[in-house]
Amino acid sequence: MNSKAILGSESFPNLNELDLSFNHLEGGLVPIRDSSLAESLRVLDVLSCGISANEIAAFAKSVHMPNLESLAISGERTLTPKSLRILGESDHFPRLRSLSIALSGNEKGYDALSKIPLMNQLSGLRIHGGNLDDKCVTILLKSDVFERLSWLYFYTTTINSENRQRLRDHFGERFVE
Amino acid sequence: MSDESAFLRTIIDSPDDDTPRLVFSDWLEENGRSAQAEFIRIQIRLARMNSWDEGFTELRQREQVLIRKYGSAWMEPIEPFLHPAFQRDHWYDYEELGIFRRGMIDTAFVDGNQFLEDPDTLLNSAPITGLILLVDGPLPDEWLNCGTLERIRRLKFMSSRNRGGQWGLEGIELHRNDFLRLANCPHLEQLRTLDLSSQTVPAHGIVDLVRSRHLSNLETFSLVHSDR
Repeated sequence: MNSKAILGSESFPNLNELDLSFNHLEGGLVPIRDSSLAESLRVLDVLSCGISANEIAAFAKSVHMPNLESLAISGERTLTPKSLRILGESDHFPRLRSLSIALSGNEKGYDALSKIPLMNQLSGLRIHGGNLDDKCVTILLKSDVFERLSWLYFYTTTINSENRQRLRDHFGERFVE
Repeated sequence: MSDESAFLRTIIDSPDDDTPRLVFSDWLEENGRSAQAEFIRIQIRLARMNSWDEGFTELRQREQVLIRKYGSAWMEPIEPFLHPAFQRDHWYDYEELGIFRRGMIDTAFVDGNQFLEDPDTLLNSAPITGLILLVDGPLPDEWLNCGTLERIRRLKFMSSRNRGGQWGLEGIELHRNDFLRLANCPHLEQLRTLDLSSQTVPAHGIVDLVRSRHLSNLETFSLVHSDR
């Protein structure tokens, strides 16, 4: 998909929510980064857009999205701990409150997630995919940063009944099923 | 005109104003329809909140309980217009399609032909500002020429990719030239949201839409899975 057309100078001047998920974006995230709309977008969904980990890292380092409140983003598959760290250390999303990412069930990913500064400003976290094992759940239960969340939502994530119950017991109604 | 019809008329005439809805909610409470009254109050509160605000999750859960229990009954006024693929008894459709907003029917998943036969009756049955259509392109001229579309702010075109399966619908989607025809439709000036998810939108279709002088008020644009 040629997202430049949507984000170019002739684009919709009042646009503040853009969902391009599940499309192959020509030029990756660069047209979004370079668009004047980047400053006004409140909601951006670019999940499963065939974006590489390096592109996400470059985007997080250089984009300026002062009004973005909700971001859904993933790499070609799941986010690597490295790209997650770079995204999570970005200070270019000062109003971000809701983050949706694809993450494997690997504990390294959840460990990285628990340590990124961005988590401190989030109120909602949605995780796509992966197999949530005992170690990942333990990280979610023990790390203080997840306590701030108003909601934690897993989408197409495999969670066994025991771990599901652990999440219910700990997060109560904040664990959205 | 009955009291209820008068309340409804006021709400339809001022769809952005919460006050008539809250007054109607009080009337419903006084007339033994407390669930519907509560639903209006809850959805108005939710509309003023962010998902991360305290109490949001609890209100959302109560909202879903009420939709599961009463949603289908509350759709009664527009029942003749509903598309057979709308799952009236399935709470998920209400959630996914945003059928209720601020306590009233806001968006209708309609049968296109039924809508064209009598669009004003549909839009006078509830404060509807959103339409969902499942149309096999090309879009009929009658649809593009329908002046009632000027009351519509949210427009979503389903395809058989996101609504097929059990209804035996296959190959239904907009025609590749429909995007230019939508861009040229003068009755979409009030449109704030355009959702073309799961349509096959050609590159020139996106350019046509972006260049439209009738869609300059668009605030939300969804193109999920549109690139094939």
